Amino acid sequence: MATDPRPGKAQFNVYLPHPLITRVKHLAIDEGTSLSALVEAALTEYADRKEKP
Amino acid sequence: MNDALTQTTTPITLAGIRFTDDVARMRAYLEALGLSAGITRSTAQADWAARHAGAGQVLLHSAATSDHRMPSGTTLLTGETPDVAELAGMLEHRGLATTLVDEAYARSLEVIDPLGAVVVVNETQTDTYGYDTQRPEPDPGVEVVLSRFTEPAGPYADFALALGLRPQGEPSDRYAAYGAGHGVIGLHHDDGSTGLGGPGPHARVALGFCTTGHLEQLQERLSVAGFEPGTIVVADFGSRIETVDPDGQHVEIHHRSR
Repeated sequence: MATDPRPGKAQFNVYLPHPLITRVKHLAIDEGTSLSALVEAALTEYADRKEKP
Repeated sequence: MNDALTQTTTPITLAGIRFTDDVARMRAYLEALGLSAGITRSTAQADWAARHAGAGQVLLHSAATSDHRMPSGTTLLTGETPDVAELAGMLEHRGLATTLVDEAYARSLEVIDPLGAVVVVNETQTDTYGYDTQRPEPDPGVEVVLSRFTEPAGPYADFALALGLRPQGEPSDRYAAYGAGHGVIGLHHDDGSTGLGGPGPHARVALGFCTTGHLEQLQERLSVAGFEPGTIVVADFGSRIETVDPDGQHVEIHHRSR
């Protein structure tokens, strides 16, 4: 009966230093975006750059 | 059953989240009803607001910018609690799967209700970076009442108990109310007339209120603020204002004895 509220996405739990967690949360607030959207954008940008031949 | 796992130390505050095309006008409407600001965004963003009643809350979110993609006028059930992990433990103990999510403002808990809709409970915000905080000064006699259109003695009653809510007043085969002193959820028999019943992920709630104040005075406040004062209806079980909010949604404000 319930539908997936975030189709195609899954939770991804990692351990990070507390100060970094605070920095990214505040950055998300400053940019008016969700924490998930900000982390997705940051990791995509990093992975794209690293994977370049 | 272990009582430690069935009782939260602090009850959940019930809230309705309204998706609207006009956050500013709905905010003014709620303030005319006696609700008051607590935490607000410091920036000029007008896509979000929270207003506290004497008991319960109403959150407002721009329908256009919400990830939920809900039409303007839609209200969903939500809430707030100081420790979502504690609530998660209580719900899991009752066999309900929960998900904890880190948000920029705080953690939140997601649980699927018996109608198949996702209910989000936010943890009380302690890091207020980017927000303005003020002490809410609502009309203490105004309480948020959220109506769910489902069988009053059906699975939703067990869900309400799992949230740590308790029965309020005398239930009937048409209506049962649950709360813990911080807002009320009313379970109404669904006769199909509201179009808000379930089952399904988009099962909605009707936003309503009760007040210990005089209904005529509340009508006057609504009129002075430029809103529809509605009509006072007197029934066997009490009096109420029936009116329409700025989103065009039917609203009932019931009188309650002090």
